[in-house]
Amino acid sequence: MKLKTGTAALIMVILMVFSIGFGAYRGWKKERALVNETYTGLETMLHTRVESAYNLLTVASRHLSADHESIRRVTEDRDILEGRRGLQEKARANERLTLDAAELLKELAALESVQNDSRDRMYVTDYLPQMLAESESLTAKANYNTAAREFNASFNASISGWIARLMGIGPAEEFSAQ
Amino acid sequence: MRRIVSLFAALLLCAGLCLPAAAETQYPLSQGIVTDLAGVLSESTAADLAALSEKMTNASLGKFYVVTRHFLGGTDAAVYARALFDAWHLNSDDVLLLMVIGEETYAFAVGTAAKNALSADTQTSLLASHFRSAFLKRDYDGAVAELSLQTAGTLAKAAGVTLNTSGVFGTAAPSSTARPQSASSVWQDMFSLQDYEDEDWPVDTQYSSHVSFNWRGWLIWGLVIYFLFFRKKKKVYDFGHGPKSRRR
Repeated sequence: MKLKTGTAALIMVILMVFSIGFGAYRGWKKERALVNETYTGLETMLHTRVESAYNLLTVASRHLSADHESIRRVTEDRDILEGRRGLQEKARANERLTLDAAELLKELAALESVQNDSRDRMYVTDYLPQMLAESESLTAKANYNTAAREFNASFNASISGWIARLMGIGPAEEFSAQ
Repeated sequence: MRRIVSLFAALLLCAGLCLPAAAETQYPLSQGIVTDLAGVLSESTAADLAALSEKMTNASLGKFYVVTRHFLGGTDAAVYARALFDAWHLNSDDVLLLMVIGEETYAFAVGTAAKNALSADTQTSLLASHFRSAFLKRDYDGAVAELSLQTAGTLAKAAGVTLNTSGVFGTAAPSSTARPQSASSVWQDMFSLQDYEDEDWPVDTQYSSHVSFNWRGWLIWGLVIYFLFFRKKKKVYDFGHGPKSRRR
């Protein structure tokens, strides 16, 4: 059986396209999996933010009513971080938590009941601010942010990335409020 | 068949995905009998707890572990205590007390063997009557001292062993001794066993020296002695017919 030159060339082109597409798909899928692996670390860091919020609310509930504005805001931030929302929404809640918690701590520190309680005064002025700051720093340093940003940069800038996009692989969702 | 295999594979995959999440929860490393992460217990309390646990071990009882933390970050104290008990691979006759200082909560985690002596009701009762008040007053040393001694006593009584707690937590500590398990209620009524908590007994005194008589006991013993030794024997009259009926 003789194969026509045109047919042979077509088969060759198809095979080449397939091998390039398959290579791009496999390569970027592997890269994406590496980014996803670091997501567990981000979740753990976000959990420290949730824990900090819980602890702050525990102390606050001893001195302020449950419907107090600052308590309500911190509770809302905590619920978003703890729930099954998108990363962008969580990133916004994470940023808001820093401000809302600081506001609540400031209000608590000004209360006479806190000042008269050596334990809660220690929590409000030392323990909780430190815990919140550490959890914020840990979250910001989480490898996922860097990994997702680097993946997206090279994914968007390469032809193989464009091919992989055609084959169903998307960019990684960044943990960013913007 | 293929569906079953697929379902099984899917379940395995789900289990695999869930495992890393479950393994994420990190617990503090055990520092021995006392893991005082909140730093609220004195050194003498820690030393006394270690001594008590040693005495409990010598009496074939479990150990009494104490853990303190400032906060649990939204986790339930009982759930955390249980998880810590499992994570530290404590024995089935051990008891773990978790004190969460900033949340003003606490919880017991009890091994399966120790549960026979410390039922849920007993645990609640012990915590309510020998811990809660001092804990809420932030007398953490006092709260732990009283609860650990009472818990050790309860475990000793249930096991029927004598636990000498002398020298632990000062001299006010009660000695926990075994009550006779085979005594009937009549004997218990006759020899009433007083509650150790109400007595200011020396801490190392043994059970046998604490048997006291009540008025019923005196009465019954008096009757027994009377009938045995002082009761006049009934006269037997013979009326002269036939042989004497009274055997000698």
